[in-house]
Amino acid sequence: MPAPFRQRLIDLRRAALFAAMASLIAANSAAAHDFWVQPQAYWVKPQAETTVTLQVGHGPFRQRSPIPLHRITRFMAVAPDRGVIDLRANLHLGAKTEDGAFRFRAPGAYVIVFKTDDHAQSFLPAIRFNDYLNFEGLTLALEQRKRTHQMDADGSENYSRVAKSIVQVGPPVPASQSRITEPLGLPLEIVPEANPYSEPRPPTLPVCVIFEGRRLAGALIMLTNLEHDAAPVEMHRTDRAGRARFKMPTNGYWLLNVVWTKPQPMSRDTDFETTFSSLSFGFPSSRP
Amino acid sequence: MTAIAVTFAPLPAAWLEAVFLATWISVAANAASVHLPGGITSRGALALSLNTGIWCGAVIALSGSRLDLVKALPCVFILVPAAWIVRRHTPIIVKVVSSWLIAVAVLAATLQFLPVTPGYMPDHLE
Repeated sequence: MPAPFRQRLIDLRRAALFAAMASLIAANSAAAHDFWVQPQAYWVKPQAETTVTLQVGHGPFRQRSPIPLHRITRFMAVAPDRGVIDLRANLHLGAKTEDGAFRFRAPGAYVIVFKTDDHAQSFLPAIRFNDYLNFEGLTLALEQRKRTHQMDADGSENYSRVAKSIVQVGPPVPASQSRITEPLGLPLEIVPEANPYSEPRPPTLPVCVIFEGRRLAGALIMLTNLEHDAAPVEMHRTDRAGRARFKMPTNGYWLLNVVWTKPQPMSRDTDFETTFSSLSFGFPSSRP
Repeated sequence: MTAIAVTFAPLPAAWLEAVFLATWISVAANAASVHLPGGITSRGALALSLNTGIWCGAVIALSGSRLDLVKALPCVFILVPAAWIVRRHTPIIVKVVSSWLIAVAVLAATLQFLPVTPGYMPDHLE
Protein backbone atom coordinates (compact mmCIF):
# COMPACT_ATOMS: atom_id res chain seq x y z
CA MET A 1 0.00 0.00 0.00
CA PRO A 2 1.50 3.44 -0.91
CA ALA A 3 2.63 5.37 2.17
CA PRO A 4 0.50 8.54 1.61
CA PHE A 5 -2.63 6.41 1.16
CA ARG A 6 -1.80 4.42 4.31
CA GLN A 7 -1.35 7.68 6.27
CA ARG A 8 -4.69 8.98 4.99
CA LEU A 9 -6.28 5.70 6.07
CA ILE A 10 -4.81 6.01 9.57
CA ASP A 11 -6.04 9.61 9.81
CA LEU A 12 -9.51 8.53 8.65
CA ARG A 13 -9.65 5.80 11.29
CA ARG A 14 -8.54 8.21 14.00
CA ALA A 15 -11.23 10.68 12.95
CA ALA A 16 -13.87 7.96 12.98
CA LEU A 17 -12.84 6.80 16.44
CA PHE A 18 -12.86 10.36 17.72
CA ALA A 19 -16.37 10.88 16.32
CA ALA A 20 -17.59 7.69 17.97
CA MET A 21 -16.08 8.64 21.31
CA ALA A 22 -17.46 12.17 21.11
CA SER A 23 -20.96 10.93 20.38
CA LEU A 24 -20.83 8.44 23.24
CA ILE A 25 -19.47 11.00 25.69
CA ALA A 26 -22.18 13.46 24.71
CA ALA A 27 -24.87 10.83 25.19
CA ASN A 28 -23.77 10.21 28.76
CA SER A 29 -23.19 13.76 29.92
CA ALA A 30 -26.44 14.49 31.72
CA ALA A 31 -25.80 14.46 35.42
CA ALA A 32 -27.11 16.35 38.39
CA HIS A 33 -25.33 19.56 39.36
CA ASP A 34 -26.81 20.14 42.80
CA PHE A 35 -25.03 21.68 45.74
CA TRP A 36 -26.10 21.39 49.33
CA VAL A 37 -25.08 21.76 52.94
CA GLN A 38 -24.88 18.36 54.58
CA PRO A 39 -24.86 18.40 58.40
CA GLN A 40 -23.53 15.32 60.10
CA ALA A 41 -27.02 15.02 61.64
CA TYR A 42 -30.19 17.02 61.07
CA TRP A 43 -31.52 16.38 64.57
CA VAL A 44 -29.02 17.29 67.26
CA LYS A 45 -28.89 17.87 70.97
CA PRO A 46 -28.54 21.41 72.36
CA GLN A 47 -24.89 22.44 72.71
CA ALA A 48 -23.71 19.45 70.68
CA GLU A 49 -21.13 20.32 68.04
CA THR A 50 -22.19 19.14 64.61
CA THR A 51 -19.97 19.18 61.56
CA VAL A 52 -21.09 20.04 58.05
CA THR A 53 -19.77 19.31 54.60
CA LEU A 54 -20.50 21.14 51.37
CA GLN A 55 -21.55 18.56 48.82
CA VAL A 56 -21.96 18.69 45.07
CA GLY A 57 -23.15 16.19 42.45
CA HIS A 58 -24.93 12.89 42.76
CA GLY A 59 -24.29 9.20 42.46
CA PRO A 60 -20.74 8.43 41.27
CA PHE A 61 -20.09 12.17 40.83
CA ARG A 62 -20.94 13.15 44.40
CA GLN A 63 -18.05 14.85 46.17
CA ARG A 64 -17.05 17.56 48.61
CA SER A 65 -17.27 20.92 46.89
CA PRO A 66 -13.89 22.55 46.18
CA ILE A 67 -15.40 26.04 46.50
CA PRO A 68 -12.91 28.62 47.87
CA LEU A 69 -13.75 30.65 50.96
CA HIS A 70 -13.69 34.01 49.19
CA ARG A 71 -16.68 32.98 47.08
CA ILE A 72 -18.90 32.32 50.08
CA THR A 73 -20.92 35.43 50.85
CA ARG A 74 -23.16 34.04 53.53
CA PHE A 75 -23.02 31.15 55.97
CA MET A 76 -25.35 31.67 58.86
CA ALA A 77 -28.15 30.14 60.85
CA VAL A 78 -31.58 31.62 61.43
CA ALA A 79 -32.60 30.73 64.95
CA PRO A 80 -36.14 29.92 66.14
CA ASP A 81 -36.29 33.36 67.81
CA ARG A 82 -35.47 34.88 64.39
CA GLY A 83 -32.01 35.83 65.49
CA VAL A 84 -29.20 35.41 62.97
CA ILE A 85 -26.03 33.55 63.91
CA ASP A 86 -23.06 34.18 61.63
CA LEU A 87 -21.26 30.90 61.03
CA ARG A 88 -18.58 32.05 58.61
CA ALA A 89 -15.92 31.88 61.31
CA ASN A 90 -16.85 28.23 61.75
CA LEU A 91 -15.91 27.36 58.19
CA HIS A 92 -12.72 25.40 57.64
CA LEU A 93 -13.03 24.35 54.05
CA GLY A 94 -11.14 21.34 52.86
CA ALA A 95 -10.44 19.91 56.32
CA LYS A 96 -10.07 16.17 56.37
CA THR A 97 -13.63 15.24 57.25
CA GLU A 98 -15.67 18.43 57.31
CA ASP A 99 -16.01 21.96 55.90
CA GLY A 100 -17.37 23.57 59.04
CA ALA A 101 -19.22 23.08 62.27
CA PHE A 102 -21.99 24.61 64.36
CA ARG A 103 -23.25 24.40 67.90
CA PHE A 104 -26.67 25.75 68.90
CA ARG A 105 -27.68 26.36 72.49
CA ALA A 106 -31.44 26.90 72.43
CA PRO A 107 -33.78 24.13 71.28
CA GLY A 108 -35.89 24.60 68.17
CA ALA A 109 -35.65 24.47 64.41
CA TYR A 110 -32.75 26.35 62.79
CA VAL A 111 -32.29 27.12 59.14
CA ILE A 112 -28.68 27.05 58.01
CA VAL A 113 -28.23 29.41 55.07
CA PHE A 114 -25.38 29.29 52.58
CA LYS A 115 -24.83 31.56 49.61
CA THR A 116 -22.04 32.19 47.15
CA ASP A 117 -21.31 34.96 44.68
CA ASP A 118 -21.92 34.35 40.99
CA HIS A 119 -18.29 34.37 39.90
CA ALA A 120 -18.19 30.67 39.10
CA GLN A 121 -18.26 30.09 35.37
CA SER A 122 -19.16 27.08 33.29
CA PHE A 123 -18.28 26.64 29.64
CA LEU A 124 -19.70 23.56 27.96
CA PRO A 125 -19.82 22.24 24.40
CA ALA A 126 -23.20 22.70 22.73
CA ILE A 127 -24.40 19.13 23.20
CA ARG A 128 -23.49 18.99 26.86
CA PHE A 129 -24.91 22.44 27.54
CA ASN A 130 -28.22 21.54 25.86
CA ASP A 131 -28.31 18.26 27.84
CA TYR A 132 -27.71 20.15 31.04
CA LEU A 133 -30.51 22.64 30.29
CA ASN A 134 -32.84 19.75 29.46
CA PHE A 135 -31.96 17.80 32.59
CA GLU A 136 -32.44 20.77 34.90
CA GLY A 137 -35.70 21.76 33.19
CA LEU A 138 -34.40 25.15 32.06
CA THR A 139 -36.78 25.29 29.14
CA LEU A 140 -36.77 29.07 28.82
CA ALA A 141 -33.02 29.02 28.26
CA LEU A 142 -33.41 26.23 25.72
CA GLU A 143 -36.13 28.16 23.92
CA GLN A 144 -33.91 31.22 23.79
CA ARG A 145 -31.08 29.19 22.31
CA LYS A 146 -33.45 27.80 19.70
CA ARG A 147 -34.91 31.22 18.93
CA THR A 148 -31.48 32.77 18.50
CA HIS A 149 -30.16 29.76 16.52
CA GLN A 150 -27.57 29.04 19.22
CA MET A 151 -28.33 25.34 19.71
CA ASP A 152 -25.06 24.39 18.03
CA ALA A 153 -23.02 26.99 19.90
CA ASP A 154 -21.09 26.31 23.09
CA GLY A 155 -22.93 27.41 26.21
CA SER A 156 -21.56 29.51 29.04
CA GLU A 157 -22.89 30.85 32.28
CA ASN A 158 -22.02 32.47 35.55
CA TYR A 159 -23.55 30.64 38.45
CA SER A 160 -24.12 30.95 42.15
CA ARG A 161 -25.24 28.60 44.88
CA VAL A 162 -27.91 29.00 47.51
CA ALA A 163 -28.41 26.25 50.06
CA LYS A 164 -30.64 25.93 53.06
CA SER A 165 -30.65 23.13 55.57
CA ILE A 166 -33.14 22.56 58.36
CA VAL A 167 -31.63 21.44 61.64
CA GLN A 168 -33.72 20.46 64.62
CA VAL A 169 -32.10 21.12 67.99
CA GLY A 170 -33.74 19.12 70.72
CA PRO A 171 -37.31 17.91 70.35
CA PRO A 172 -39.69 19.77 67.99
CA VAL A 173 -41.46 22.77 69.54
CA PRO A 174 -44.45 23.92 67.46
CA ALA A 175 -44.06 27.61 68.34
CA SER A 176 -40.48 27.70 67.05
CA GLN A 177 -41.12 26.54 63.52
CA SER A 178 -42.19 29.74 61.80
CA ARG A 179 -38.87 30.63 60.11
CA ILE A 180 -38.79 27.34 58.26
CA THR A 181 -41.88 28.23 56.28
CA GLU A 182 -40.89 31.83 55.57
CA PRO A 183 -38.74 33.17 52.73
CA LEU A 184 -35.34 34.42 53.87
CA GLY A 185 -34.75 36.89 51.06
CA LEU A 186 -32.42 34.70 49.02
CA PRO A 187 -32.19 35.15 45.22
CA LEU A 188 -33.68 31.69 44.54
CA GLU A 189 -35.25 29.86 47.40
CA ILE A 190 -37.29 26.75 48.10
CA VAL A 191 -39.68 27.54 50.92
CA PRO A 192 -41.51 24.62 52.53
CA GLU A 193 -45.11 25.50 53.28
CA ALA A 194 -45.29 22.74 55.86
CA ASN A 195 -42.65 21.89 58.40
CA PRO A 196 -41.25 18.44 57.63
CA TYR A 197 -40.33 18.08 61.33
CA SER A 198 -43.77 18.86 62.73
CA GLU A 199 -45.81 16.23 64.48
CA PRO A 200 -48.06 14.74 63.39
CA ARG A 201 -46.13 14.79 60.14
CA PRO A 202 -48.28 15.94 57.19
CA PRO A 203 -48.73 13.41 54.36
CA THR A 204 -47.46 15.85 51.74
CA LEU A 205 -44.70 18.42 51.57
CA PRO A 206 -45.93 21.54 49.76
CA VAL A 207 -43.20 23.96 48.74
CA CYS A 208 -43.02 27.18 46.83
CA VAL A 209 -40.14 28.66 44.86
CA ILE A 210 -39.24 32.32 45.19
CA PHE A 211 -37.01 33.91 42.57
CA GLU A 212 -35.86 37.48 43.12
CA GLY A 213 -38.74 38.09 45.52
CA ARG A 214 -41.50 36.65 43.35
CA ARG A 215 -43.10 33.24 43.18
CA LEU A 216 -41.66 31.35 40.25
CA ALA A 217 -43.85 29.30 37.90
CA GLY A 218 -42.50 26.51 35.68
CA ALA A 219 -39.41 25.67 37.71
CA LEU A 220 -38.45 22.03 37.98
CA ILE A 221 -38.03 20.90 41.59
CA MET A 222 -36.42 17.55 42.28
CA LEU A 223 -36.63 15.56 45.49
CA THR A 224 -33.67 13.26 46.05
CA ASN A 225 -33.02 10.68 48.72
CA LEU A 226 -29.44 11.49 49.71
CA GLU A 227 -28.81 7.91 50.77
CA HIS A 228 -29.63 6.66 47.23
CA ASP A 229 -28.89 9.77 45.26
CA ALA A 230 -28.11 8.59 41.73
CA ALA A 231 -31.50 9.87 40.53
CA PRO A 232 -34.28 11.99 42.02
CA VAL A 233 -37.25 10.23 43.58
CA GLU A 234 -39.84 12.79 42.57
CA MET A 235 -39.90 15.78 40.20
CA HIS A 236 -42.54 18.46 39.78
CA ARG A 237 -42.79 21.76 38.00
CA THR A 238 -44.13 24.66 40.00
CA ASP A 239 -47.63 25.79 39.09
CA ARG A 240 -48.68 29.35 38.33
CA ALA A 241 -48.50 30.17 42.02
CA GLY A 242 -44.95 28.85 42.17
CA ARG A 243 -46.03 25.83 44.19
CA ALA A 244 -45.33 22.11 43.98
CA ARG A 245 -46.27 19.26 46.26
CA PHE A 246 -44.24 16.17 47.17
CA LYS A 247 -44.93 13.08 49.17
CA MET A 248 -43.59 13.73 52.66
CA PRO A 249 -40.48 11.66 53.38
CA THR A 250 -40.56 9.88 56.70
CA ASN A 251 -36.96 8.84 57.27
CA GLY A 252 -33.45 9.32 55.89
CA TYR A 253 -31.78 12.42 54.44
CA TRP A 254 -33.47 14.40 51.67
CA LEU A 255 -32.70 17.15 49.22
CA LEU A 256 -35.00 19.45 47.29
CA ASN A 257 -33.32 21.41 44.56
CA VAL A 258 -34.22 23.85 41.84
CA VAL A 259 -32.22 25.71 39.21
CA TRP A 260 -33.16 28.88 37.39
CA THR A 261 -31.36 30.97 34.86
CA LYS A 262 -31.75 34.22 33.00
CA PRO A 263 -29.96 35.62 29.98
CA GLN A 264 -27.00 37.87 30.60
CA PRO A 265 -26.70 41.29 28.98
CA MET A 266 -24.52 41.35 25.87
CA SER A 267 -21.79 43.16 27.81
CA ARG A 268 -21.10 40.10 29.99
CA ASP A 269 -18.68 37.30 29.13
CA THR A 270 -21.24 34.53 29.48
CA ASP A 271 -24.67 33.75 28.07
CA PHE A 272 -26.65 33.09 31.25
CA GLU A 273 -26.71 33.85 34.95
CA THR A 274 -27.82 30.76 36.82
CA THR A 275 -28.71 30.12 40.42
CA PHE A 276 -28.75 26.68 42.00
CA SER A 277 -30.83 26.45 45.14
CA SER A 278 -31.33 23.56 47.52
CA LEU A 279 -33.09 22.68 50.73
CA SER A 280 -31.87 19.70 52.71
CA PHE A 281 -33.47 18.06 55.70
CA GLY A 282 -33.44 14.70 57.39
CA PHE A 283 -34.85 12.53 60.08
CA PRO A 284 -33.10 10.84 62.96
CA SER A 285 -32.90 7.11 63.40
CA SER A 286 -33.55 7.86 67.08
CA ARG A 287 -34.63 11.10 68.74
CA PRO A 288 -31.88 13.32 70.24
CA MET B 1 -36.87 -13.95 10.78
CA THR B 2 -34.84 -14.81 13.87
CA ALA B 3 -35.32 -11.31 15.24
CA ILE B 4 -39.08 -11.51 14.67
CA ALA B 5 -39.26 -14.86 16.45
CA VAL B 6 -37.24 -13.69 19.46
CA THR B 7 -39.27 -10.48 19.74
CA PHE B 8 -42.24 -12.60 20.79
CA ALA B 9 -40.24 -14.48 23.45
CA PRO B 10 -41.13 -13.67 27.10
CA LEU B 11 -37.69 -12.54 28.31
CA PRO B 12 -37.11 -11.47 31.93
CA ALA B 13 -36.59 -7.72 32.28
CA ALA B 14 -33.51 -8.40 34.42
CA TRP B 15 -31.71 -9.59 31.28
CA LEU B 16 -31.74 -6.12 29.73
CA GLU B 17 -28.16 -5.13 30.57
CA ALA B 18 -26.79 -8.54 29.56
CA VAL B 19 -28.74 -8.41 26.28
CA PHE B 20 -27.37 -4.96 25.48
CA LEU B 21 -23.86 -6.20 26.20
CA ALA B 22 -24.36 -9.25 23.97
CA THR B 23 -25.78 -7.04 21.23
CA TRP B 24 -22.74 -4.76 21.25
CA ILE B 25 -20.43 -7.79 21.23
CA SER B 26 -22.37 -9.09 18.24
CA VAL B 27 -22.02 -5.76 16.47
CA ALA B 28 -18.25 -5.88 17.04
CA ALA B 29 -18.06 -9.50 15.87
CA ASN B 30 -20.05 -8.77 12.71
CA ALA B 31 -17.92 -5.74 11.91
CA ALA B 32 -14.71 -7.67 12.63
CA SER B 33 -15.73 -10.42 10.20
CA VAL B 34 -15.14 -7.95 7.37
CA HIS B 35 -11.44 -8.05 8.20
CA LEU B 36 -11.13 -11.85 7.91
CA PRO B 37 -8.56 -12.75 5.24
CA GLY B 38 -10.46 -14.26 2.34
CA GLY B 39 -13.80 -13.17 3.74
CA ILE B 40 -16.30 -15.21 5.70
CA THR B 41 -17.75 -18.59 4.69
CA SER B 42 -21.45 -19.12 4.01
CA ARG B 43 -21.80 -21.09 7.24
CA GLY B 44 -20.05 -18.34 9.18
CA ALA B 45 -22.32 -15.72 7.63
CA LEU B 46 -25.40 -17.76 8.52
CA ALA B 47 -24.20 -18.17 12.12
CA LEU B 48 -23.55 -14.45 12.42
CA SER B 49 -26.94 -13.59 10.99
CA LEU B 50 -28.70 -15.96 13.39
CA ASN B 51 -26.71 -14.49 16.29
CA THR B 52 -27.57 -10.95 15.19
CA GLY B 53 -31.24 -11.81 14.87
CA ILE B 54 -31.35 -13.29 18.36
CA TRP B 55 -29.88 -10.24 20.06
CA CYS B 56 -31.76 -7.68 17.97
CA GLY B 57 -34.99 -9.48 18.76
CA ALA B 58 -34.08 -9.65 22.44
CA VAL B 59 -33.34 -5.90 22.62
CA ILE B 60 -36.66 -5.12 20.96
CA ALA B 61 -38.50 -7.57 23.22
CA LEU B 62 -37.05 -5.98 26.36
CA SER B 63 -36.85 -2.29 25.60
CA GLY B 64 -38.65 -1.45 22.39
CA SER B 65 -41.91 -2.00 20.59
CA ARG B 66 -42.50 -4.49 17.80
CA LEU B 67 -42.77 -1.53 15.44
CA ASP B 68 -39.00 -1.25 15.89
CA LEU B 69 -38.67 -4.37 13.73
CA VAL B 70 -40.10 -2.38 10.82
CA LYS B 71 -37.87 0.57 11.66
CA ALA B 72 -34.81 -1.71 11.71
CA LEU B 73 -35.59 -3.19 8.30
CA PRO B 74 -34.11 -0.32 6.24
CA CYS B 75 -30.81 -0.85 8.12
CA VAL B 76 -30.47 -4.20 6.34
CA PHE B 77 -30.24 -2.34 3.04
CA ILE B 78 -26.85 -0.98 4.07
CA LEU B 79 -25.65 -4.26 2.57
CA VAL B 80 -26.57 -3.04 -0.92
CA PRO B 81 -24.09 -0.13 -1.11
CA ALA B 82 -21.54 -2.21 0.85
CA ALA B 83 -21.74 -5.05 -1.71
CA TRP B 84 -21.50 -2.52 -4.55
CA ILE B 85 -18.39 -0.99 -3.00
CA VAL B 86 -16.77 -4.42 -2.54
CA ARG B 87 -17.55 -5.31 -6.19
CA ARG B 88 -15.83 -2.09 -7.22
CA HIS B 89 -12.67 -3.49 -5.56
CA THR B 90 -12.59 -0.74 -2.93
CA PRO B 91 -13.37 -2.81 0.17
CA ILE B 92 -11.14 -0.56 2.21
CA ILE B 93 -14.10 1.81 2.64
CA VAL B 94 -16.18 -0.97 4.17
CA LYS B 95 -13.26 -1.92 6.39
CA VAL B 96 -12.82 1.65 7.64
CA VAL B 97 -16.52 1.96 8.47
CA SER B 98 -16.41 -1.47 10.14
CA SER B 99 -13.44 -0.39 12.26
CA TRP B 100 -15.36 2.67 13.38
CA LEU B 101 -18.30 0.43 14.24
CA ILE B 102 -16.07 -1.88 16.28
CA ALA B 103 -14.77 1.11 18.24
CA VAL B 104 -18.30 2.29 18.96
CA ALA B 105 -19.39 -1.20 20.00
CA VAL B 106 -16.42 -1.77 22.31
CA LEU B 107 -16.89 1.62 23.94
CA ALA B 108 -20.63 1.14 24.36
CA ALA B 109 -20.18 -2.36 25.75
CA THR B 110 -17.58 -1.29 28.30
CA LEU B 111 -19.24 1.96 29.36
CA GLN B 112 -21.81 0.19 31.49
CA PHE B 113 -19.02 -1.25 33.65
CA LEU B 114 -17.31 2.08 34.27
CA PRO B 115 -18.34 4.40 37.11
CA VAL B 116 -17.29 7.45 35.10
CA THR B 117 -17.58 7.84 31.36
CA PRO B 118 -14.11 8.18 29.82
CA GLY B 119 -13.37 11.77 28.95
CA TYR B 120 -16.29 13.03 30.97
CA MET B 121 -15.46 15.57 33.63
CA PRO B 122 -18.26 16.57 35.98
CA ASP B 123 -19.17 20.22 35.59
CA HIS B 124 -20.56 22.85 37.97
CA LEU B 125 -18.40 21.73 40.88
CA GLU B 126 -18.00 25.07 42.64
